[in-house]
Amino acid sequence: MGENPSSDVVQGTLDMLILKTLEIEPMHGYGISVRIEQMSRNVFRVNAGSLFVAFKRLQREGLIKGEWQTSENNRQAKYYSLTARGRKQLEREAKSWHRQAAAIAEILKA
Amino acid sequence: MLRNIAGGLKSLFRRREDGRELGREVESFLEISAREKMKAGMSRADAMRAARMEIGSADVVKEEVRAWGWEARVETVWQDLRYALRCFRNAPTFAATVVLTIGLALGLNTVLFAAFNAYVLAPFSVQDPHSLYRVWWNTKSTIGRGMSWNEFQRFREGNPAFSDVVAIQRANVRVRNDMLMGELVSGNYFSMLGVPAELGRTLVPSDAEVAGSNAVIVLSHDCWKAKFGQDRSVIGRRIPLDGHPFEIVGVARRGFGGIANLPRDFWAPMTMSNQLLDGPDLFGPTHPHPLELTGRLHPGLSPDRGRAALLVFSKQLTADRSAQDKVISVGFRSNATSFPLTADAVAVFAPAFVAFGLVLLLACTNVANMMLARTLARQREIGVRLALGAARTRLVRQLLTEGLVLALGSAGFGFAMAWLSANFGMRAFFAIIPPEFAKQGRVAAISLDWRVFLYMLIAACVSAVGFALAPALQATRGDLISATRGEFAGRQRAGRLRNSLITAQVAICVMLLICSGILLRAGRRVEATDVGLDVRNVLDIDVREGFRPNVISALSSDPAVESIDAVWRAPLYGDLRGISVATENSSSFVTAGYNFVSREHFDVFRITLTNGRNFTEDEDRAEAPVVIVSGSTAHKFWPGSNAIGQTLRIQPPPLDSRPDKIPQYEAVRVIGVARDVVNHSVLLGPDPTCIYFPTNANATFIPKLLVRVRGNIELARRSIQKLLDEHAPGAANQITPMEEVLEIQYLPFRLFAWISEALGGLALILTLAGIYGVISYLTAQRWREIGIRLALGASSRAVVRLVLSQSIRLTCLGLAIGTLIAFGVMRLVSAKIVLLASFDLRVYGLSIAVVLLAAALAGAIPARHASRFDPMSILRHE
Repeated sequence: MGENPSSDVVQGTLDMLILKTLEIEPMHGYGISVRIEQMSRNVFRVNAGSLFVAFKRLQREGLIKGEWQTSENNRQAKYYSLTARGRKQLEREAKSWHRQAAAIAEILKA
Repeated sequence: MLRNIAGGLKSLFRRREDGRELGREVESFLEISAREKMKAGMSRADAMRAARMEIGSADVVKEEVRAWGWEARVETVWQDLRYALRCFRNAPTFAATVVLTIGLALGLNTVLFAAFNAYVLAPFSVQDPHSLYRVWWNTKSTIGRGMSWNEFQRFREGNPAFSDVVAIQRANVRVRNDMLMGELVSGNYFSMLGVPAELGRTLVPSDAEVAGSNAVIVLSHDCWKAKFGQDRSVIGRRIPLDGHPFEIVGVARRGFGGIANLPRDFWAPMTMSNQLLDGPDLFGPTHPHPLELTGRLHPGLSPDRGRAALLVFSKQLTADRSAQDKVISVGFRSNATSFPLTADAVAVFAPAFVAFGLVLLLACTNVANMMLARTLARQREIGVRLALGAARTRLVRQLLTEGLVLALGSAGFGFAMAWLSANFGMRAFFAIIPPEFAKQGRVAAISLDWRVFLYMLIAACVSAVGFALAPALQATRGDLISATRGEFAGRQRAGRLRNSLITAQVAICVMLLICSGILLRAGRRVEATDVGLDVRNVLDIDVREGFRPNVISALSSDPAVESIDAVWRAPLYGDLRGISVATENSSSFVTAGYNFVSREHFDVFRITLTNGRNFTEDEDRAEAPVVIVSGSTAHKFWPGSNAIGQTLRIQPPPLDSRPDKIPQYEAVRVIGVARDVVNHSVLLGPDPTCIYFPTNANATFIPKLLVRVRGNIELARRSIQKLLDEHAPGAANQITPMEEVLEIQYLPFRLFAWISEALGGLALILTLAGIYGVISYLTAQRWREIGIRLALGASSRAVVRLVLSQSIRLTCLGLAIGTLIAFGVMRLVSAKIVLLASFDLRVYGLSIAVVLLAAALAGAIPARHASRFDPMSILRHE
């Protein structure tokens, strides 16, 4: 496994990443995991178990909702989409994340 | 938060559907993943495999999702519960033993708590009990001064702290052959407390307006039930209270027994005070002040501010009085319960709670041992589960759940036990009280309310943790390999825990035994003390002022009456008053006990005069300045010389703190010396000092006639009662055999001794069972070793010694610890109670011997069993 430098998603950010991937369009589970990997240029790898737990948690909090739909190749899949609450939450988290990341970067630069 | 609860609840009820949907989702995930891989050129089989590799075990994923959220925990608990119940169905004897042991101990503790609850915690059944406060005055001369009728009226009108105030006076009255304990109250009593009538009406303000008017009473529900059989036609009936007819106008609501320390039977208007109570006219010119006041604090006023306001008000009210009679502070305490929850109340109950708690602890250690043995026997099962990946916390939780199920079962059993023993105990208590006192005995109803229930639940949970946690931690500690083989991992540690449990048991047991032994012996000693009074065939007759000539003439005509003694304070009631006296040549006054008696006193109680002479009839009639002193008094004041003819100087006590009767002269001459007797209490032994002043039946404040009768005392009592009912109705409140008065003094000792004996006995049985269980379990575990020893030629005696030595060693350690603790406890207690002070070697020796013997016996049975193992079959088994 040494040739793959990918790592697990940073603690506590998986929810935010899922919300981000759903910002543009509804997606199914596999799509989300692939998208996170792609967007992070294969730095992050998503564990399926954590992903499903995150779906359950986000649904419970009312940030996303799931619906069974037919996928592009005529298969049933559960598509998740952002709710209004989820959209607001994403905005908030992204903002605070940018601030924190900038601050940490400043510290590391010094 | 709310969303979380709602979501959790929803998924709790749709567990199966959710699971199916999750399965579908995971499957579609795999499917899509594989399809993508096939697009990249993999074969279908390869793609599927790769997809599976990526996701890991689909079941683990599903389990992970299932385990998320609070509802998952609920489900685990439910599983544990079902598992525990299944386990106990397979081992019913084990479960029954545990429930019995813990249940018994819990039941005992619950009864104790219920008593504590009834007196200290449970508020009176009235409207808003927590705003009720009792108030009294302290003046320079009297602490805890009540109020006069006038003062009460002014207090009620003008006080700044209470929205309303009631006045109360205790009244115990004779109704034919029975006693009723009641209260005279101001007319606003029921309206202030917000207590309605169950039947008829309650008292209203107009009942208590004009002195001497309205001979009506309201009964308590309990009294109506006990004395009138819940007869609804009592309303309107007249009953004689102390000979005065009173009309029953109502029955108060069920559960209401007043707001005093003990429940009351009836309430009458205070305006009837002079008809039912002795002493100066409540409404007369002397303005006596016996009234107790309880008020309802204004809403929003804190008790401290209320008290301060009352102090200012009371000072103003008494500003124009003499310095002796000015209010200097006011007493103020919550009247929500019989006794306020103070350090004192807790201190009274604390020793009992400790002793009862120890029995529960003992039961817990016993069960802990059983659980330990059981979980170790289940080591293989636990090992397998650990090996399959069960988390240790999960296993501990499951074992704890088993403990909890057992504890709750025990709590149920204990609750039933508590209910039974509270009822039975009450009946037993009244059965041992001498009859004349049983008539007056009232105890707060011990009800098992929610507080008791909560206490029980908490105690059960605590004991579950106590007996289940340690074994659970122990059993799950093992290393996997040996555990799956069914071997006892961490054997050393398990042994150590078991050993300390046995040691603790023995220590608690011997401690309880020693303490109960000492109490028992102290009780015996008290009962063996010679009180110096011959109380057989002596009746104590409480005569109301003004009736005495009638009563005496009636009594004199009765052939059963041998002699009649008029006294101020009857002996053995625990109140020998003190007065300051000094010898002629000394200027230092010391306090000495004193009483007024007529010349027949020494004859009635068969007290011999060791020196000098008795009072003459003239001296009695004149209450002359002569005294008879007790032997110790003579020795104290005139050691080595003759007391006869000496003079005693008397210092009058300060005004207002005076007892109602004091000697009216400054010096008296000693004319006789009487043998020492116990006037005060058997607990304190013969009075250190006692001075008898002469008096006669017609003098003021001589309420008691002590009568020596011939023949059967009960017959004599009845004939006297009949005689008095004819010639002087309402004259005598009570006719009590002096023997019963003495019995009452012994009662606390007997009660304490019985309770501690019962606890000690229970502890002994528990310890015996505990040691027996553990040793036989250990022997069973060592059968292989013992078999080999036997095969190698060990004698059966050696095997017995092997097994026994183990139990004896632990027992000895426990004995040492327990004895030391008992010694320490007794040292502490004896600082307060002199009677328990002596170091009783016999009690210590006997208790230790009993426990040692019990331990040997408990070990001997398994040891004998072990020595009879057949080595051949054991070896073949290998």
